[in-house]
Amino acid sequence: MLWLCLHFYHLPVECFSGDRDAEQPLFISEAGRIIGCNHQARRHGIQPDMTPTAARALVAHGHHHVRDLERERHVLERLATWAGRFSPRVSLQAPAALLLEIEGSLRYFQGLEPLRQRILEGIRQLGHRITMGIAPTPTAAWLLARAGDETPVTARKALGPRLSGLSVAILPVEQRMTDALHGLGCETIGDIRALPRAGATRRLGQGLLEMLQRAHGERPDPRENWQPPASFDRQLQLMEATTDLDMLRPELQRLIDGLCISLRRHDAGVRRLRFALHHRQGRPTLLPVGVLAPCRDAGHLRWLLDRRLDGLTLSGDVTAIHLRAGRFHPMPGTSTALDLLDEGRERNVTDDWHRLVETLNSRLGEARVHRLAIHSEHRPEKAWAYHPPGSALQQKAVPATVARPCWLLKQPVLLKSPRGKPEYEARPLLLEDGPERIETGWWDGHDVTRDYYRARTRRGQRVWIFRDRRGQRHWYLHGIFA
Amino acid sequence: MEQAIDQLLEQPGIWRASARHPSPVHPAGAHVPSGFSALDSALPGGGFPGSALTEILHDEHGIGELRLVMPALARLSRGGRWIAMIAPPFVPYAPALAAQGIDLSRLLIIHPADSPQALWSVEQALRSGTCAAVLAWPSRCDDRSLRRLQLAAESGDSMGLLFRSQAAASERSPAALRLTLDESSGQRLDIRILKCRGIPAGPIELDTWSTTPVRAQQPLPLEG
Repeated sequence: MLWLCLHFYHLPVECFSGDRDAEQPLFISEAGRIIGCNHQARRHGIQPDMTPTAARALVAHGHHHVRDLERERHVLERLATWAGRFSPRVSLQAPAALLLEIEGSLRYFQGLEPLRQRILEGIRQLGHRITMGIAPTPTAAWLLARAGDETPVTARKALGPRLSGLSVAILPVEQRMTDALHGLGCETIGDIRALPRAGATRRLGQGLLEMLQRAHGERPDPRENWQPPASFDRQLQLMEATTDLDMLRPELQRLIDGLCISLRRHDAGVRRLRFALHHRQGRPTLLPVGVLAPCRDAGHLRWLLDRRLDGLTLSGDVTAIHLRAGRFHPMPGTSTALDLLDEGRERNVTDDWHRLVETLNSRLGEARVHRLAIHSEHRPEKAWAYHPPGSALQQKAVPATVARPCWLLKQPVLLKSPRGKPEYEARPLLLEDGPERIETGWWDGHDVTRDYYRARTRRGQRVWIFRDRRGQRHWYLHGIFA
Repeated sequence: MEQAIDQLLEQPGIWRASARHPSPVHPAGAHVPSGFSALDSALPGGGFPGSALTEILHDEHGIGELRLVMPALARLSRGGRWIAMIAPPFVPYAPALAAQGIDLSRLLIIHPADSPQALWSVEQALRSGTCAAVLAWPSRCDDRSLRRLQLAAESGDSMGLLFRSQAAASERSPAALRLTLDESSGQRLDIRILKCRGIPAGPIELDTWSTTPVRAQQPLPLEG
């Protein structure tokens, strides 16, 4: 077996540079220290180990990000899918490396050097930087790549001598461990291997020594193959262009059926679908469909799509239709019989609820359907928020100890106040209760200093008003005790 | 002849206005007590009809139109189903609703783009069977669409509350209960029953202000 490791040593920066203007300085920090930056940032004098504050002082217009491991993982997964063209066996080595088993690929690519060149050329085009390590064990290939030692090791007996020269600084261990190794007088991997076995285990722990054993092939080193995430992306060309939605429906049905077959094969469901109707000219008409729980029920998806189509008028001929499904969520086959026995009615209510929200979302758009939540905040306008209905929310305890109105105005409305006496709908207001002073928010630039009162008109309308304590000391209507 | 009528009247599907008891078609359990005893005793069945439309007609905001239904909603929100508010005229203010005992996790707020969308949403929510109550502020609503909503409320076992202006009082409506609210002076809310299933009581005066749980309080017990 021969393993090739691609070590993306610049990944923390590269995973952010994709979506930005490459001419802008970009730097990444972790735990309050700069850990990487792009070429432009380096030209401005930004260096690793600086504080982000110092870096911002050097480049005011630069982009600063905190290291995002999830984003790095995402990019690495994409690269793993790409690397599948060189070997059927690709595995991820977190946080920033890929391992390819290449022995079987050498014949196809006519030898090691042509394969290396093909990979390097591909990586260059993708805009990444790597070091490459080649060795008979995956861990050794990884260590060589981390060390930047690109000369391949093909024979197992050459492995020991090559690894023993590597510095302990390249080991994927915490700083504490590196310090401990220095304390023991170990500068290279060879020094660690020369330590008396029992004492080394006691001082350094099993983990490091076992990793070195795996690197030397003295211990099995199994790797999990990377499986590209399942997805669905299909386009149908129409035989003839049409503006008639009824002509499209069977074609859309075919796409949905194809998707659901694929989902069943993967034991999965989807939550987001995006249909696109392509026109001869202009932008495609997009029809997003979402469900709250992963779904592979063709009838239900069709029903939701129909609700989308209900309110639709086509701007032009449709020449092709396209369906892309979002991430496949695992959804093992359900044993319906047991579910029904267990919690029949409760389940049905939840299912019906999902169906209602999905139907509303499809017809009205997700921006029009909300759940309501309380925010811990003194400013009345910020003490609430809308959330999508599918989101799981922790409802906080109710902080209301004073009366608040059930209706709040989106924006406080200026009230007429002849001779300083506020009026509502041309009726003078009688102040009943107050003032309740709300004075807060100075930290985010939306500070308020207000005196709130409960008031009513002679006809019994109760409202919540405040007097701005700054400027002209105007009166505003902010809520209605409906 | 007399006998034939008697036989007819024994049919379970026939509902008689003179009987203050609810008919088998609309059993007593389907009524939702408002939580205001003066109102409950005036309403046939002892509360808002549970699977039907109720119209609340008022011209002014802030006279107690929501306070009137809050205790009922608070209780319904804890009964395992949801409450939908469709096209509310203002922002439903979360801290206040929670203080009135509404379980916010059971509340859905919908802002449709226009009047047809609003009516469609109300019908979907009523019919779905998952909403214990649907509150709606439709801008336009004719007899035909009201009839659809009434049917949807029946089939979905949902309490539909439509808030409309008093101008609608002169229009025909299939709603099971129609109340008009007159602006009150001070604490009182003057309620007139325009239409109900049964013998309407006279005008009702309610004190929705001092009895309303403005401060956080225990939710009312579920009806046994």
